[in-house]
Amino acid sequence: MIDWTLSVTRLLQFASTLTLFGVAAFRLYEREAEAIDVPGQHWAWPRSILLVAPTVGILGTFAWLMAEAESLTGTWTSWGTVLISTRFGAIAAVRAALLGSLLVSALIWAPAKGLWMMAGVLGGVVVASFAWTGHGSIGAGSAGLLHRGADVLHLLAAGVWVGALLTLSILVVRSLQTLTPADTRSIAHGLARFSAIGPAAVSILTLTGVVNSWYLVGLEHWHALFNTPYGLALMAKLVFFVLMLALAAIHRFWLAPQLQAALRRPASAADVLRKLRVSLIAETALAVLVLAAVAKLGSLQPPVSIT
Amino acid sequence: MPKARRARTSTGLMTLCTAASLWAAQAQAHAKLVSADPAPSATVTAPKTIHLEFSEEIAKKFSSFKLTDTEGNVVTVMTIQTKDAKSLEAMPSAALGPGVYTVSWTAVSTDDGHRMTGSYSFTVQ
Repeated sequence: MIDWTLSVTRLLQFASTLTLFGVAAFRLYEREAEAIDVPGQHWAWPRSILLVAPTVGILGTFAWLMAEAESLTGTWTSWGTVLISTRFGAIAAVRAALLGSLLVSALIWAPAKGLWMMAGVLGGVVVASFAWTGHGSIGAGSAGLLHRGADVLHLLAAGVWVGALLTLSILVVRSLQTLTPADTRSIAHGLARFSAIGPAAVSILTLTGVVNSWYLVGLEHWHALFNTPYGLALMAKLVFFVLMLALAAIHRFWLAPQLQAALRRPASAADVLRKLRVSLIAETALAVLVLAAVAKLGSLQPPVSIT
Repeated sequence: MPKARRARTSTGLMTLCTAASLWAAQAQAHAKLVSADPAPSATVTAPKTIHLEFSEEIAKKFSSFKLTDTEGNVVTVMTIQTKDAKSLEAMPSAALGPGVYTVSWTAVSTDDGHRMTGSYSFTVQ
């Protein structure tokens, strides 16, 4: 029961903050994405992300502190004690405060470039902070520094991927309702931009993933990948990751060129967009499964600490 | 980013990570007992304090240890505040008589809230 609530509250924090950072990052490197927003419509989807993601992040943070309190003291009401007497509690408080300031800003200001910039920076800091409240903090001195650095890069690269996936999925779903050539052009452009950045994100995720496994599993414990709960959850994560890569390759080498071709033959656009809708949503669902595996890993004993 | 620059950045990152992971000492994970006074399995004269040293910083509010005598009765101890964030210390409220004592500890990592437990025994002459 406790393990379950710890994992779910961790997942809520990961999903909301990676979305916040990733969507903001996508909008900053892909200016064309704006073309599809309906100007002047207050509840247009980008604004809802700026309101919903920080709210879920804050609720997830406090729920996680309560779950930690329940696990440490047997009662969730002692979450305040956990907050003030542990380092992870203090970091969680900072996380909630940053998300709170972003939420207030999003309520006051329109989602223009300045607000997205703020969401990108604050979201990035919040995402990076997970390296200080989980297994990323394992290791001391220069080894600890490298592990943390790898963890921060891993988290940010994951955010870039998740944010682009979610944005493109929403754009495709919306444009299937309107089917204007301008929408198709925006999506084709967005896919092309992400195809340029995606490989860098994947390389960073792979390299830093190897560094993290070095610290948390270790070469001499490689068999633990197959016979410990931690190892099995990590393998599940890798399987979901590889499936995401396969879908990403389909987007890049098959559907993106088809969409480019459809720009010249608008009649075929709907057909390509429908295929994209299926595969983008599937890839987003796999991303959620990867995050769920990570949320579970946080509660399991890494092989390196088993003696 | 142009292709050539991207390739250089990736290669650079890869070299850095590989080099660093080769020299980096394998890290410890979660709070483990590194040393204790009296030491595990030691035979000592009645100790004034019991001191436990862990591998990483612990959340003191949630970390403690219990001392039991040969018959399994709990011996009351008074916690002593230590400046060191990695250790726990307590003083038996009365001098320990001869016998085998067991220290059962619980240490919660201040970084991620993981609880580790363990126990060891020592003998008082």
